[in-house]
Amino acid sequence: MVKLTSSEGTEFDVERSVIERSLLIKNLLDDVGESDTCAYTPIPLPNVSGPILAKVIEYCEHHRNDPVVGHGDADAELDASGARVSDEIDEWDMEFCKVDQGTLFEMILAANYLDIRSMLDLTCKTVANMIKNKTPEEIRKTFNITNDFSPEEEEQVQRENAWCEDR
Amino acid sequence: MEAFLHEFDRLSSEDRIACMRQLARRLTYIERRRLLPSLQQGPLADEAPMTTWRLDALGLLPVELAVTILEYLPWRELLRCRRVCRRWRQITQLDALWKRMCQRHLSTGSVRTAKHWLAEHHGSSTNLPWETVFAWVVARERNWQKNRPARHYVNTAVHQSRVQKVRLLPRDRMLTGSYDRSLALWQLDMHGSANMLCKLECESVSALDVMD
Repeated sequence: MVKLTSSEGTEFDVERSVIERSLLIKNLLDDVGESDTCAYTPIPLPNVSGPILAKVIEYCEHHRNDPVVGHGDADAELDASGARVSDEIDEWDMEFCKVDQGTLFEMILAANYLDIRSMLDLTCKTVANMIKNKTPEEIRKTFNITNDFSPEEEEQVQRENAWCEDR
Repeated sequence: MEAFLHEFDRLSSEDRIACMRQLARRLTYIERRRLLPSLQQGPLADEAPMTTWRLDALGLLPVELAVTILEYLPWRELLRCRRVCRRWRQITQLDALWKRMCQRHLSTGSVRTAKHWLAEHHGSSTNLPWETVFAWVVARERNWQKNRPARHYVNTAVHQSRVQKVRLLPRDRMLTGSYDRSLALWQLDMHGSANMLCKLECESVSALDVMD
């Protein structure tokens, strides 16, 4: 077992094989070695709050038997046209990401910090899907953004985007 | 919360600061990012956005993570994102983002061809913006898809009838299907000609798609 401490000081006990999906923690544990001391010394995670750490552990437990995706394997996801597949999210993962936006972005930060590649992919894909097939105005509504462009800037953007127009 | 604040008001200055420190540790990154401006500008300055849970994902995240999200989108969607606001425009202009777009969405062959061609026609290749490279490849593919002379060449040389479907593949290959009930695979070169690699007879062609 491994003990983790969240930013507010809450302790979590996790099986080592589960939390080793986090490359940060795996490397840390590998460095410490097999000694018993690591089981009793909690690992402080000052960048991850308790509720988010609980989500991370939930994710790692569900995916404990998946093959670990390393950074070099990212190309394996390319589809025939060379684009990354962003629609295919399995049902459990989809449910897992049904959280408020604040929590979702904290999950992205945590997955990045803890170096859990597949969870980072999943959470980023989820946000990408929230952006997809929306007009700029719909995107603003979704993310509570105000349009701060001046008319001149609007024109500049039009010009920057001119290359996509079918001529 | 009332009771809590009442107790808080009665603390000594030192304890209040110690208490705030403890509270700050309980805040998440996003919460801290949203609170910070109001601490600097005085209380209540931006109370309104704090009451809603909709927030600007890309604007709040570190830039490298914003790039990780955007690279999942098809390029047309990226250009739409550019029209959202100033911050999103900045992010969608990042050279690092377009470099990743080239790596993710284009074949290495077409990127090499694009850089080669652009370098020849515009001088140095070292400072080529990746967006320019991406745009060039998109324009070239579009030309191929609409290129009538190429279709004509394809027709007379290989297919006995009109070419019905054209599909561009990675590594500068092209698949054509014709009313003469045949499929042909082509290798495109950068000057706009196509060399046939192989031809297949089939029942009829109504649509073309490629698995893996």
